[in-house]
Amino acid sequence: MSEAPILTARDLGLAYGSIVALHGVEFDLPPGRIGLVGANGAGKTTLIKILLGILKPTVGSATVLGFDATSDMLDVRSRIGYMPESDCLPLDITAANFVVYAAGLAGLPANAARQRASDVLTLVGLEEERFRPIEGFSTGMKQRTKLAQAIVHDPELVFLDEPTAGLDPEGREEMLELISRLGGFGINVLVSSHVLGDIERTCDWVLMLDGGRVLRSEPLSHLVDADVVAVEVIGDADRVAQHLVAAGAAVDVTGPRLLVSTTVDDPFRLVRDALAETGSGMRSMGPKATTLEDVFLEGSES
Amino acid sequence: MTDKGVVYDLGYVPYEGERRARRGAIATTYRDGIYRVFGIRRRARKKILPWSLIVLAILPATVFVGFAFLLSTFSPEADSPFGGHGEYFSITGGVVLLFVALAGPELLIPDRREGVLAIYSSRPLTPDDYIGSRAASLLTVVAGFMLIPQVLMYIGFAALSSSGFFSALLDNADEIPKILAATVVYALAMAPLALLISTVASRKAAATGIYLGVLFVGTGLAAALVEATSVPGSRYAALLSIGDHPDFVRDWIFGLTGSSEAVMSGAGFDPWVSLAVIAGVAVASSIFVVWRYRRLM
Amino acid sequence: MTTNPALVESPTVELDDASKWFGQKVAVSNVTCSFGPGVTGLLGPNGAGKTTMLRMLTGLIRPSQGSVRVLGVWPRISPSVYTDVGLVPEEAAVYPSLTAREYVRYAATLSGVADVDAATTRAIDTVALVEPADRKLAGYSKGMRQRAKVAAALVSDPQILLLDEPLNGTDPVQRLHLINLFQRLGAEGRTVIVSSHILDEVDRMSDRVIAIVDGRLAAAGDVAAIREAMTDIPYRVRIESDSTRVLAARLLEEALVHGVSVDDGILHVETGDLAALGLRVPVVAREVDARITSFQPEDASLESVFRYLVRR
Repeated sequence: MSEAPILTARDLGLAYGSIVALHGVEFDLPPGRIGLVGANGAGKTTLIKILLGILKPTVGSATVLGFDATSDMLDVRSRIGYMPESDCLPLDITAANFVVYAAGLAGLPANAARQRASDVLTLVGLEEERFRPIEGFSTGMKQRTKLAQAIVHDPELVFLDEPTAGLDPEGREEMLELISRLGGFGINVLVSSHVLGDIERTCDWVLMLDGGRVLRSEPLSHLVDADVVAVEVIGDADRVAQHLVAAGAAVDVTGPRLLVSTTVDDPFRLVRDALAETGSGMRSMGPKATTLEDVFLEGSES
Repeated sequence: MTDKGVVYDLGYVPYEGERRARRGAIATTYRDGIYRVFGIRRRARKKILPWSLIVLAILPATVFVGFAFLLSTFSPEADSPFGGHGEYFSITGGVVLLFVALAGPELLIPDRREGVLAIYSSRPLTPDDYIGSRAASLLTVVAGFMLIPQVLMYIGFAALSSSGFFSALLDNADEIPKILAATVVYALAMAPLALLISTVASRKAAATGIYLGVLFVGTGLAAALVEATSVPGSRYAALLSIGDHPDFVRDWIFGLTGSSEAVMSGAGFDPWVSLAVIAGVAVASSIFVVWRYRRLM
Repeated sequence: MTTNPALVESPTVELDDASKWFGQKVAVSNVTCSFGPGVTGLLGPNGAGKTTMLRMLTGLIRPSQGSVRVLGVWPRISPSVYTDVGLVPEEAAVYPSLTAREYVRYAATLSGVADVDAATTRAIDTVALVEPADRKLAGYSKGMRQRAKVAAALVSDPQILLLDEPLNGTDPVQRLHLINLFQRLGAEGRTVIVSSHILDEVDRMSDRVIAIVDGRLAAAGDVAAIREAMTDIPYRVRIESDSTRVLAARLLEEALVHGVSVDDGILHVETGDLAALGLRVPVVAREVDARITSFQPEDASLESVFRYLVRR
């Protein structure tokens, strides 16, 4: 994959009547796995629809894989896949027949369509169920079918809208596993989700929207602050804190959790030694990681 | 891989083959439309009605041709129990009407109700392409319904002809443009309206009901209103007899005298008025349907 | 004093060897557990029997065997269940042409509260829907609709609140509001039972969890304690440091370490005693002067616990 951004937006805006769905949206998203997060009504769905060419922006422009989302809509759609959040599967047809149809719609000739559909259905884990009408499918099976039709034509980029909605933990686990593998298949991914844990797990970059504007667009690794150590103590946390302060660190204590920073030494070594010397243990330790949720909440409060 | 063993990677294989993009999408949608109205690749009970109707449309012609070849003592036209090509349109017309009432909704409504339009919106297909393909599917099937029996009749008449089979085929060639013209007229009279109603209604059963209702009630209402000669302009009510217009134009094409209780001729209109109404409704319906789908997709 | 973690000291809801079958399908099988004040998470794969259990608690269905008691009485025959138990079902059906206030009012009338208006106002206040209360539900976002459903369940001031997937479709902000609300209701002394698939949120808001797999009670109690009770599955801990292999070799000398593996520079340690490992590692690391930048249990979370429960 080249390093040219796969999705860009320049002063992108969409308003209908007095409602401003998007305003002044700018971003350059690199290849890989991108998480799109935002509150309900923040503009995530509007943005996806503009990128797919379903809606036209009132202001500005966006490109997908180098093609203008509005004027080159057909070029865009030949290269992308979409897994909608809403119900989108015909009920009176078998999953196998439907995925073949979906492949044909993407321009695959008949034999290739059949082959690809079969392979992709195995990949998403639909075995004999694929020969049953979609009407009788569980949520998990429907989600898998939706994913199958989104990747059957080997797109360069796939848009996944709430891919784990309605799935039980096992189903969610398997879906996230599949999404993580897509990168290895050479498929870029944009996941729109409310479940921030899903994004943290599968994505390398996050685009955060709030009230129609871009709040953040950055790698997820930026959320890690390597200068501050977060540790959950087994034992007397206050005693450990005192020990650390005596060694020149600044410590924030909340129950058994400490946040340690220091300019005089390496905070990780300081913590290790403080624990060893006081006979305490670590339940968990690591650089202070702002979770997506923290960013999200702090962003929406402003 | 060594000399002694090899393991093949059965993981994901990228697709490097042909991609037909828009062309492929349109062709696939068109083909699916035809499969859909015949219940192909769907449950068995979805096949019952459409196939029964097509059998109904073709059966009389088939029987006729069968007899024609077996008993060439019949003379054409006059002895054929169905009259000539022109008259046969009345038989197929009724059957095709029922078929379109079912097929139109089947082509448009499930995709909307089940949300499948979202999937089309991620494929290289414009809204016009989608609706154009669906319309093409419907028109193809309607044309097929009407033309197949006509072809059979054509063969039948040639077989019965006293001047020999092959020369009769050539002699009757002047019927062909009339058959084609009438087919186009019927198709335009029935299909666009069905698509219009299927764009507006949200349930298949409702769309079928409304379509048939509009046709029968419209024609009935027209017939009744035309009689009310005391009301000024009552003759214009004849324009409502939607079911009548194609028959009226067909009569004109084939030079038949008013075989139906044509409301239009009774009200003193010329056939080209019917043609204009058919064309007008077809154009208006198409414009509306295209406009609506551009907003949905 | 009970020592069975599936039972609580002052139960308000009790299941005693309760089973429910529908024809040949056994939906709930010999479940004995109880619920009390506070928030309890109810977990299980789809089709495991959670929804059936909840319906037995509301009296909608009767157990085929065993007993179900809510506040001491059989919910199926006692009319007090309508005021004492509030249910927020999973289905999205709300009346789109009603406003939130009308909908909650309707629920209040149905459950026969004395002062319908006061109850409605109080319920809407509690879920913080005051400002949009007079708008039609059709225009509500999913999160707001969820809150409206909770208000409708709260309107009779129930002691017991049953919530089936209440966080479905809500965004993080709405989710946090709802979680805080449930915790508050639990702290007030109500028995709040939340059935949800979003495990790390269940973990956050629950005091204890009950897990149902294939209709049977698979686990009960505090998450850490449940994990500890899985003695046949050692803990896996992920350690990042600057001297991975040295640390690995040194840790392998410790009796509490079952095994180590190194993958891409990351050290994975298996142990039967997580706390003991946490106490040993700082000492050992200091001995070999290893700089540890990350120490994270990989399978002690509710998610991992759940995965293990389902696979058994």
